Amino acid sequence: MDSQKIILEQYSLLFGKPTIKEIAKDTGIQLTRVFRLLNGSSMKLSEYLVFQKKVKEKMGLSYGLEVLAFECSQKLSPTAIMELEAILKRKIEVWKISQKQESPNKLEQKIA
Amino acid sequence: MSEGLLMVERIVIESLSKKEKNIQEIELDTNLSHGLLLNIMPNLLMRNMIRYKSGIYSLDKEHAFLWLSEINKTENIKEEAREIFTSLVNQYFKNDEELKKPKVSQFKIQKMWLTKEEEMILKSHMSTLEGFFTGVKEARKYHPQREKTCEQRVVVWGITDYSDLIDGVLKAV
Repeated sequence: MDSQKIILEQYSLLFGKPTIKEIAKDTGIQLTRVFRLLNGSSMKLSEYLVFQKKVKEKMGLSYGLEVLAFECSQKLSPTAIMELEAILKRKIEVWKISQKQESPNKLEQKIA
Repeated sequence: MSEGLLMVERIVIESLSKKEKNIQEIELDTNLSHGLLLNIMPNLLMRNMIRYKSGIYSLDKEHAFLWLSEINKTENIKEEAREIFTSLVNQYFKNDEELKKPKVSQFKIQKMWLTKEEEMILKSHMSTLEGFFTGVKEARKYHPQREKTCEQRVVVWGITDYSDLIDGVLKAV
């Protein structure tokens, strides 16, 4: 329920507090259904993904990797998932190492 | 993150395994930028793999048994090997505009049927190749050429059955 609340709040904030009618038109979800969602009805996964996609598009973020990762987590074996996790973790570690230091003497200062 | 090494960390360890160095010497030996090294060195220090004293970095040989056995665990070596192979493939398929220097990467994949005799000849060639590499490394111990760690050539080779490769791909899901 928290994720649902968060995504609805994000959507409302990003789209300038749209009316129920505007939300229904934008998301393709029926007007009465939108009303029920805003009043506490549990969201279906498909509805959540629609809102999530809208939020990410508004924020300029790609949703491809996340949807793909979700699909992998649903369909692949634990071994295959661990393999992907290992690859992604290494990518992130290399990214972290590649971030520029602000001061060339930062290391010497840290150690001293 | 697993307790293995990234390629950028391993080259630093290899550099320090030859002799202790200051950061400028590591920079020259590994061709890693100063900024990158400033991010790598604290990680290695925290993992007790290296020591730092009066501007000089050295391998932490006291704890070597602990960290060597960790980084050389099969699953960690497997991930490093995967990283090497992926980078080799990416490097080979870079176009001329992306490469900053003349292309040195070679990458060949061959599939063929071999008779028993041909299989033995191939194994013999591969043993000869391995013997050649061992000989070169021995020669470097007695006749060092002041080579930089980053200037080493990386050679990847292996052999397997086609069907095993396909099986592996199908089972990896």
